[in-house]
Amino acid sequence: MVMMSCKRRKVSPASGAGAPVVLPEEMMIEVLQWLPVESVLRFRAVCRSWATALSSDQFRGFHTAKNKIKPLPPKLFFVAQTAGFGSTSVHTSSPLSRSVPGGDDHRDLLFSLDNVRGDFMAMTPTPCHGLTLLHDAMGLEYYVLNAATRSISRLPPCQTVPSGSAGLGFDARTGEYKVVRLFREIISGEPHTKCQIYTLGGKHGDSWRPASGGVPFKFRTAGTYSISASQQHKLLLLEFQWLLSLRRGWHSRWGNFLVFFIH
Amino acid sequence: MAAAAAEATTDGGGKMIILISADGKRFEVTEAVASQSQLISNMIEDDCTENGVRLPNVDGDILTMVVDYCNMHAGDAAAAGDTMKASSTEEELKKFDAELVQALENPVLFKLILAANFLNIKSLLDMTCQRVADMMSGKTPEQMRETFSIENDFTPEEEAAIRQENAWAFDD
Repeated sequence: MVMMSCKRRKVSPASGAGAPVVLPEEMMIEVLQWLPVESVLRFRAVCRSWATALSSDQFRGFHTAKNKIKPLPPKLFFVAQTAGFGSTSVHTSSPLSRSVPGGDDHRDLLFSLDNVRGDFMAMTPTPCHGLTLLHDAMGLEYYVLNAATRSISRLPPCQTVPSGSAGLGFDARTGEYKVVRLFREIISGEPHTKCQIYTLGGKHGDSWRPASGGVPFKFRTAGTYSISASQQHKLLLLEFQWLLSLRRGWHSRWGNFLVFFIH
Repeated sequence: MAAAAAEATTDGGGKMIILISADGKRFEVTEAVASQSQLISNMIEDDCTENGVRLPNVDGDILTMVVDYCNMHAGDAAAAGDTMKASSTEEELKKFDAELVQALENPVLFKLILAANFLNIKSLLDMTCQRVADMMSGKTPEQMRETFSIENDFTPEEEAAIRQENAWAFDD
């Protein structure tokens, strides 16, 4: 005879007799994944644990998959120099749409940036939670762009150095976007790898601040490499992924995030 | 087709196995029917179903429904490739599935969810979860707390903030 143990809550064999059957939490989450979006939002008001569960990125992922919410068709997103080199235009284009014969081409101008030379413009290879980081290598300025709302904002000026690299990350725990830049600085004849962070939304003041603790030793070589790689390709090849430790706060250490090199 | 404890005969060449519910009811099903449960499928592979499969956390009345569901859906897999047959069964299956869950209320549905989860029958789990979600979807947070005996552990300010944040979802 095969006996099977069950780690989950057992269903009482005396069915129908009194005690209400409740679903264990993990099964309740399974059920909630089938709800329409407005119910998910409404049920965040049920209790704390539901609010946390229904707001998590993990739940969002499951919910999207379960409800077969179709992602929007992919769009190309690119910057181009304008005729006079004096400004840069930012476009989107859907590879699936057909251009109207004889008509204008179907690319969609989001906006143009004056006084920025398009041939010196670079952007992060993939958007981060809807935002894209642009870098003007000529004017040494950074822009953050939301293609969906067609809005762009210029980040406050940072220490101008010729060699640097930057990435855009999203901290799911605090709901904040952060721009991180790595650059080299010569201090008393020695090159040093430095790191600065800018938090979007200005909660931490409208300025770049140095990463607490500086760049840990084990990341220095990688940091130097990324800076020189970004110079060679005139592109921001760095993607940052926040590796958040729940045990330690975000600000506590640099070691909490990992730097991925796309190229 | 339910609580039949007949002799283990072969039916259409399929080997029969016996499932035993928590309250001792015995269900005889073909391996093809039973292996829609990933759990039992693994046991068949490991060759440990010889003396019957005891399911100490699934009641007889729930297992009846599960076995009915599996019997109904086994033809599904068998008819794959025969398009004529498959299309006619598809309609029957939809009707059968709808009737199975429409009639059930929460406590029984929950038991069916737990059984589908334990036995690892994905299609049944999805269908039952979807049904519970459908019944929940129009409810207010208050009704949810009441239905599931959940304590409201928000401060009034916190709750107001959440409602404010998602105000459109609270419109009737």
